[in-house]
Amino acid sequence: MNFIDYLAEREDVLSPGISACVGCNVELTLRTVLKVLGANTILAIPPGCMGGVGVVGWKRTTGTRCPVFFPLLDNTASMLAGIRLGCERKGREVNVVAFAGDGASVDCGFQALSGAAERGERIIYICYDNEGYMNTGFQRSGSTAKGSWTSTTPVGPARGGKAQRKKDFPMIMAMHDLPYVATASPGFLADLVGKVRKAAEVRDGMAYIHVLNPCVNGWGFPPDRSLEVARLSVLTRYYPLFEVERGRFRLTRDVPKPRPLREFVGSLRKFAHLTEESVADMQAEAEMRWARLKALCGAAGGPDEGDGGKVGGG
Amino acid sequence: MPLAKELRLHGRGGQGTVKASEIIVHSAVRQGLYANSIPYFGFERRGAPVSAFVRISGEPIRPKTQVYHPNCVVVLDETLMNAVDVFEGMPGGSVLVLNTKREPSLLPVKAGVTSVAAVDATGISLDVLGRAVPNTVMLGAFCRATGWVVVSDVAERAAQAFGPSNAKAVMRGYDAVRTFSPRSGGSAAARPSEDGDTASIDEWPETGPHEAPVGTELYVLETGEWRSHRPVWQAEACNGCGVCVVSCPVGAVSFNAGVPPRSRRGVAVDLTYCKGCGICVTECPRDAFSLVEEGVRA
Amino acid sequence: MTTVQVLSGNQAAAIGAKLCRPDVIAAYPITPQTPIVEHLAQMAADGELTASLCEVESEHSALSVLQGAALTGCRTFTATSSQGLSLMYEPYFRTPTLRLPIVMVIVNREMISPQTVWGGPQDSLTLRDAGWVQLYVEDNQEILDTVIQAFRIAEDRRVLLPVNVCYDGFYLSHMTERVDVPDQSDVDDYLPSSYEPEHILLDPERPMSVDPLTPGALLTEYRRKQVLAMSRAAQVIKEADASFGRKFGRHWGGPVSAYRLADAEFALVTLGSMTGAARVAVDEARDRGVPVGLVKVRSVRPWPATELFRLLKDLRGFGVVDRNVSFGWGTGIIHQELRATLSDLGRPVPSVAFVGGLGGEDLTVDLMTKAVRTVVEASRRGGTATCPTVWLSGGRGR
Repeated sequence: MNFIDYLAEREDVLSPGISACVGCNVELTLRTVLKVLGANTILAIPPGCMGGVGVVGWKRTTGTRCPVFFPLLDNTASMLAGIRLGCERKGREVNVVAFAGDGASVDCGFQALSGAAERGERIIYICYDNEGYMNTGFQRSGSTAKGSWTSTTPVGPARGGKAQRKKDFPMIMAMHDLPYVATASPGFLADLVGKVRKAAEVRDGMAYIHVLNPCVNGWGFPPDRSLEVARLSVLTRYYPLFEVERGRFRLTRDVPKPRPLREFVGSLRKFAHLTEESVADMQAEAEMRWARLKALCGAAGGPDEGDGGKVGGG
Repeated sequence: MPLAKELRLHGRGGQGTVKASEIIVHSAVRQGLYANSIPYFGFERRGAPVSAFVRISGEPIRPKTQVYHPNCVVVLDETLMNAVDVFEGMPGGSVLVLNTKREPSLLPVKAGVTSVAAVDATGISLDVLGRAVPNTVMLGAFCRATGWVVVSDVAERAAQAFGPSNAKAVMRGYDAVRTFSPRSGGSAAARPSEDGDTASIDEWPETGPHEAPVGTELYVLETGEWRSHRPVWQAEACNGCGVCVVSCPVGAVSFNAGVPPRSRRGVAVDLTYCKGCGICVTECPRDAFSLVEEGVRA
Repeated sequence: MTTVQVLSGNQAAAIGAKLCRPDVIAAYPITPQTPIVEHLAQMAADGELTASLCEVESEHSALSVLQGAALTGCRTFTATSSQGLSLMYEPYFRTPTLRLPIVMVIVNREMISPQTVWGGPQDSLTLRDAGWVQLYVEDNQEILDTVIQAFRIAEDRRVLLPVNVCYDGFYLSHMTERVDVPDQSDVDDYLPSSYEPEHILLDPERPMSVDPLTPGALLTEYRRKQVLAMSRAAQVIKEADASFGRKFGRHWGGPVSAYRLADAEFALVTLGSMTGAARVAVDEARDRGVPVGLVKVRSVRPWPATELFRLLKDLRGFGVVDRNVSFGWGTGIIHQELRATLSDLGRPVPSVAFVGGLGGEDLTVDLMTKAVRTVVEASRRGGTATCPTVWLSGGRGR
């Protein structure tokens, strides 16, 4: 079945009316993920955008048709480990799922996440990476891109945005040797759907999916371009789409002829202050990471030239 | 100013409502008055209704609380009146400052309002700033309608905060105000309850599911009320591919009852939840969607 | 009915936990709690313990794993000490607000700095206002018995709050003594077979949100219910102890226990393992004709204000020996709370605050004798609450 027909037939587990920003592609990502996983899911939404917009509900309500809860910002994976153990004790077969921002995953939640990964906890952990603490404005995270304006790395005569590079987090998770690690994008929904389905099949440990979610307000672009900017991040090789199945790396969308990174960077207000030189630096970094990934793909079975399938690409 | 004045601003996330309230405070303080501005800490999302509260007085201001009985209400986005009771708690003799193209005499005004000041702030901001950001134009209109703060101070501060052309936006707003005095404006609007909800505190049952913070009813906001633009679907252009269906963040686009063959399938938008982001317009490979400005519902 | 064994305090805690048939245990080792984790792991390896063990990477995760498990309806157990408890603070406060009946042993250890690993309840007493029931015990038998009682108290539908069983590091944790270990079948009779929550649960069969965003007025309602549950816990602690006494022939006095107090004019108030030396000092003073008794506080939360008032109101004076400091008051925490209790109830009995035994230093019989003497002298001088705090240190010999 075509993925559009598949999704159209799935139950929408998320409330139709949550207060995510206009044009928010994280809302789309969560809605899509929950359509795939269904209501037999226990969902953790740590503090962050999705918690802030009412996915865990407001005042004795719930934002989903499945059980959902707020872990702390830094214990999502640990609480889910306990939930999995509990479900096993009770003989319940359930999807145990995190949908956590980059702050809750790559920064203060990392200890719990890494511990749970090492122990092989059977959790589907999805990180929505909008490159900063967006729920509270736009503060820097370990996943913020180098050079980016944030409210805690502002631009002035003496400083020009974040000084350090973005943590290559999917790669860090891959090095935990999990059964399944993937990157995904709301700009390539068929690819995302396929990866969530694979993650749901994992029985012997953690499945980790990293999603890059450009943020309308924080990054500064018009809401209608929400998915276009996500696609551009992939097509410029800024954010490669790949998966790692039991150590075997595979590009799920090769980008043999990348568009210049300037196209991506130039469309975002958070990079408006960057010089040509800074953009060239970013380009070089993206190429370095791309080359490393290609090498890993080559080392572990060869790249796949297949098309991940962008929205409407069929 | 002998008496304390209270102001409430209504806007949408992203329109600069809180910033506007702070500019009023700066200007009042510069005039030697006391003032404070308090944002309502809620779900402040782009497009979501937000509010801010301002007090101005000749004396130090003690309450650090929200405003419940505003002498003036400033509405930055007319479509908010579909969703929010902007008149709530207004005492008699209050001023309403509204961003609208309409004639002030034609506006549906509730009790309490003795003066309506209307200005096409969106139009002026598009003209002066090139963007639909009405907050600084509305500041000019507010100065004219109330006389509480000096417009030149406000213009100067707006220029510092948002760039030089905003001084012009303030002055254009000041000049473009159209006013109207409704006859029914003498009596106060309905006041919110003055008592806290503490009566039942001893009647709580001793044990049971209510003891823990859980929720069971579905949380559903009618987010369509945020919408400033509405998608319009043209059946002729659509081939039923469904890209819009899977791309809508809100899940508001669905295939309508038409069954395959696929080429004859159409889509429908649920305007109860559509936030008007325009993703369906951008993603549609056949240009079957367009965005039109949302009017004020009756 | 029972087996007599020689057990360390940590072994007693581990065996007590095992007898309660927990579903999930998660713990991270820290001195002086570490042997509990080792005992539990060994019991699991030997097939004696059927709980699922989660070998977490921190105390923060230990309690977080248990919260997840409790939210699916599991009975859970963990243990920690001092710095581990501090790291746990974030999920710690949240356990009672979520009304999860987790049982956690705290092997009390002094807080750094200066660098220390030895005993003292500064760690848990500092967190007394975080909403857990906190019970403090005196010897290894009481450890085992109180762990069993703790599950019954925590899961009681009138309570539904987590419970700490606290005992002094090294003094009890690493001390071995005779302990009567009850038969599994008797514990099974005493304790409900499983924890069956209705108030908060993550189960797709009964979907609900846990901890939706909550405005101040509703939060106030939850807080008030939590306060009511804590006050109901006082009664449940008594019932659990009385029922335990009927089943096993031992009981511990509920929230407080008194010693030689009936005809006393003076008293020492103690907490935890120091109580034994204080009992000896009281006996010796009695031999000298000094009418002194002892009050051991078992439950710090809920605070047994009524019972303490009843026990202390007619005395001519009392002394409180605190193995902790309440910074800002300059006394110990228990003394501060007792002063508030008696003033609040209109009976400002003269008292002396003692602080000592910090960092695991001995609180010897001699120091306790000194405390008794100080209380009697202060009372004869017409001493009042304004007495400066007496610091006990340098105990030698006994």
